[in-house]
Amino acid sequence: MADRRLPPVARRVALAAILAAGRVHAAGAAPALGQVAAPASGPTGLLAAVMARLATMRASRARFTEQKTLAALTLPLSSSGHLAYRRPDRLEKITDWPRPEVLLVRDHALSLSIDGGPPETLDLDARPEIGALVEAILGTLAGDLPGLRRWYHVAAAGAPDGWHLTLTPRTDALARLVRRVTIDGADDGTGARIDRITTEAANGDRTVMTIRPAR
Amino acid sequence: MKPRATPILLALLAALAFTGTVLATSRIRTDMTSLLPRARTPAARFMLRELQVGAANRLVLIGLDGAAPDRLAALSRALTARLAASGAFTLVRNGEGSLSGAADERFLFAHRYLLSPATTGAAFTTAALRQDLRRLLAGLQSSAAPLVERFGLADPPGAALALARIWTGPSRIGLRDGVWFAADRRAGRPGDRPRALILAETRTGGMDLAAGADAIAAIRTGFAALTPPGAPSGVKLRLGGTAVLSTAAERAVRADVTRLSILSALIVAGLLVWRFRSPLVIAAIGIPVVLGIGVAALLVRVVTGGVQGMALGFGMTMLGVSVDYPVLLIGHRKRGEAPPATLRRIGRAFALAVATALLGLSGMAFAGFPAIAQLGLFAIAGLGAAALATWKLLSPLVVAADLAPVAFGDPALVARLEPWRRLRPVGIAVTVLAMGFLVVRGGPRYATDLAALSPVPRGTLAVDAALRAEIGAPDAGQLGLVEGPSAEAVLRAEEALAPVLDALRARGAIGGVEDAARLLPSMATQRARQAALPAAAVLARRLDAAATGLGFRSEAFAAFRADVARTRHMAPLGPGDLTDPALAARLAPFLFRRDGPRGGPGGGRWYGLIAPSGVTDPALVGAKLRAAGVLYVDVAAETARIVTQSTASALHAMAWGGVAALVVLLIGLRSWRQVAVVAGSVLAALAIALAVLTAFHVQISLLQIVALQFAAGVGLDYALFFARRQLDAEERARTLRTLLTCNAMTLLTFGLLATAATPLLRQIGLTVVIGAGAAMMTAFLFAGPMPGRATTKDPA
Repeated sequence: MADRRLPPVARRVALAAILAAGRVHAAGAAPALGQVAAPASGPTGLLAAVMARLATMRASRARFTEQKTLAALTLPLSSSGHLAYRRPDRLEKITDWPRPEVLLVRDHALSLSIDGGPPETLDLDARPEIGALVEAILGTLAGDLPGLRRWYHVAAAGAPDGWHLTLTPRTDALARLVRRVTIDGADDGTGARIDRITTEAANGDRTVMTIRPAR
Repeated sequence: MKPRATPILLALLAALAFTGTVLATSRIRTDMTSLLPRARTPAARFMLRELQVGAANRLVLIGLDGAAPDRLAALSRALTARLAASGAFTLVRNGEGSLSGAADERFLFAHRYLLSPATTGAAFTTAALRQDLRRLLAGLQSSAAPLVERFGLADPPGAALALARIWTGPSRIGLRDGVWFAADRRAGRPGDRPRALILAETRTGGMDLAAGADAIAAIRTGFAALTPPGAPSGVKLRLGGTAVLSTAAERAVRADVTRLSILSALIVAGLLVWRFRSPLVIAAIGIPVVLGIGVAALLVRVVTGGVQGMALGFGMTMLGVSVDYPVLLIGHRKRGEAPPATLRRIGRAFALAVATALLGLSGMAFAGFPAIAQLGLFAIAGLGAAALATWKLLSPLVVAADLAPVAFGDPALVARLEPWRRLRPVGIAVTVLAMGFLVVRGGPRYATDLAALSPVPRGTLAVDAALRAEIGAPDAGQLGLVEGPSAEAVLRAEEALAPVLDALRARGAIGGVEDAARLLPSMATQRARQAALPAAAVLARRLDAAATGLGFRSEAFAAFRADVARTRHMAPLGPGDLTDPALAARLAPFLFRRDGPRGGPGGGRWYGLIAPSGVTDPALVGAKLRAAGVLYVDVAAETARIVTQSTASALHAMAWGGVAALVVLLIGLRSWRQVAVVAGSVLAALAIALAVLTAFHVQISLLQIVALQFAAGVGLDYALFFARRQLDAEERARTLRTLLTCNAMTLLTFGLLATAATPLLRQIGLTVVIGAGAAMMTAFLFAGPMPGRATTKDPA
């Protein structure tokens, strides 16, 4: 029998997370992304470089706006709020509008509190497919390529100053939930940042989260 | 003349051959059901029947802990595959396949409008639907959108949610890495060690020891194969369930009995060698004992068709008492006396001792426990055969072997020990004190639960209890039982009970209740729900009205409309339709079928179990349920009643046996005074033993009563031999020495039993030691002649 502390269905986190906004000053001088990317050519080199840059980020805060286009609704839904990330696996999404909500992912568990109500929790180890969706974001933020590759095929395109990561599911169970996750970002010399996350669900839903630096 | 060894050795070999054949060809039954008492009330009958064949009875609970969760999960999967392939189990479940979209969840979801209490006419009105849709919209807005999309759109009234809560119920199993883990012990909470859980169901009831042992062996072998000893993984295997407990009980007792039998045989042999100094004599003494065992096993086999393993174990220990008879004969031989003459001399005391001991034991046959009855039969046959063999076989053998008598008629011993008899008044005082103590205490305290009789080691019980709690197995102290000719009848009866149970809950008499009708409503209820569902066109219209302005596409509710339409034409579900093993296993304890008595025509009856939890007022619950026509079983009270009834009938039987023994004594001794002395010393010994036991807060259970009967038996031996009249000093010395030897043997062997690991055997050993010790003292003090009063005339 499945864990019944939540309604008997998974809560998908991926659409609700991440991001680093501002510049994070990495300890120790890290070479500019351009220099790292120079010797390698093509997507593999780019992927490694992007991951390396992302891995240097310790913590970050950002603002987000999210737009959901659901197959069931005629009009898209919007929301906005703040994000906070701390290495290696703590992520907080605080929605201010239209309805207050706090979503916290930490240490293999997810908790969601809507409208100031009591938080509902979900053990991500018990629901691996949800864990996989969380991993898409957290893994990218942490620059953890092996972790991402457990669940997804990862491809990189573009250039260091404007790259796109495409994640496609490896397992059938995951493919039933999500079709593709696209992460757009850029490096601005002092650190990598993620600008947009687009999630396309298997049933045609599309969620775009646009991220801007805090302040 | 040098003794000739051949006749004795031949006879011993023959006896061993006979007994060996009997034991080797006997079917040793390992079915523990014969250890259960006979039931006298319907409630007791039901309870005991469930103990034998109930579904919960066949479960083996397996826990794996001691490593990281992913390692445990992998081990769980591998072990489950192995056990499923082994063929020893009908079902092995570890939660695999329970990922989202699992078979049981899908089934429940597909039939949610039939099964869920949320399906009412009011839930499908436009107003209710509009509220549901508003809620859905808010959900889609939130981060929980995917969940809501998947299940909310197809089920706006939330029937699946209500259903899932009922079906999950008290189960505390969680899922991790695709397999079951104990929900309270998932890693992440400090101090919690994760434990993977596997449920296996054996083919036969847990009371069948052989099958249970096979199943457990399969589990252990599988586990050992997966965790090679080379790599120290630290993973531990925990087992629980009825089969495990029964096997543990049997193994504990058998280990003890084997070890102690060997040790006590060695001690007895050693003592006899020291006393008689001749291995041939030991061999001669062994003949009646071995024959006794063989005859006892044969008789029990003839009467009951097989020998119950535990009864055999106990019987062998208790037949140690039968060594007394040949020792009495050989120990009383005078120098130059032929055995037949010895027999004539001690004959009356010997015959009386045997007769009264057997009469006393006959009470066990009526104790109400088939196993105790078998034990009684075994003991009676064994002691009787040993006595007869001593009488008829041993003396010609001793003559044929030309064994010199061991002349220990040394009067010096008498002169040394007999003066202690002056302490007779002290003995009387102690007896009176003991009786007074018992009266003040209101008599001995009787045991009221079967736990005293359980030889299962405490550690095994603790692991079993922990696993049961984690799996959420129903462990109700109170049960209601509804009976009917069909499942539908039972479910309807349970639904009719709902107001009664709700009232009890409102009064706080019960906290909650689980029964089959909550899980699977009757077909009548399902049909009513179908009728409450609106027709397709009506639902479409209401949905459109409810969704105006909210922004839903009309196709969003296609699945919902289709499911409702499908449900309206579904065939109602019966228990046989729940084919998914997890669902069937959830329902099985609450709704089941039992064959009719003696497989009568018309098949069996259906039973529904009602399990209240958090019961604060059992009497009220019992009264209300009985008034509604439900059979009410208060498990603890019922168990206590069974134990008390059995103890009472054992006491009654013992009393009647005692009366019969008294009559035999009268006939045999022909003297009121002697009867009074003999009976008095035995009763005094019993009183002292009971007082000692009560003083140490030992509860008197069936075991103590059986043990005290044995002690009384040996006490009669002592008293009768001491009470013989007109003995010269030599004869009295021989008697004293022989009885001291017998007493030493009894105290040593049962004292050894008192060091057993299982509490069951420890209690028997302790009680017999106290009883036999007291009996020797009282027989010596009261039954023998005072020094200076004995005549020196040699009785011819």
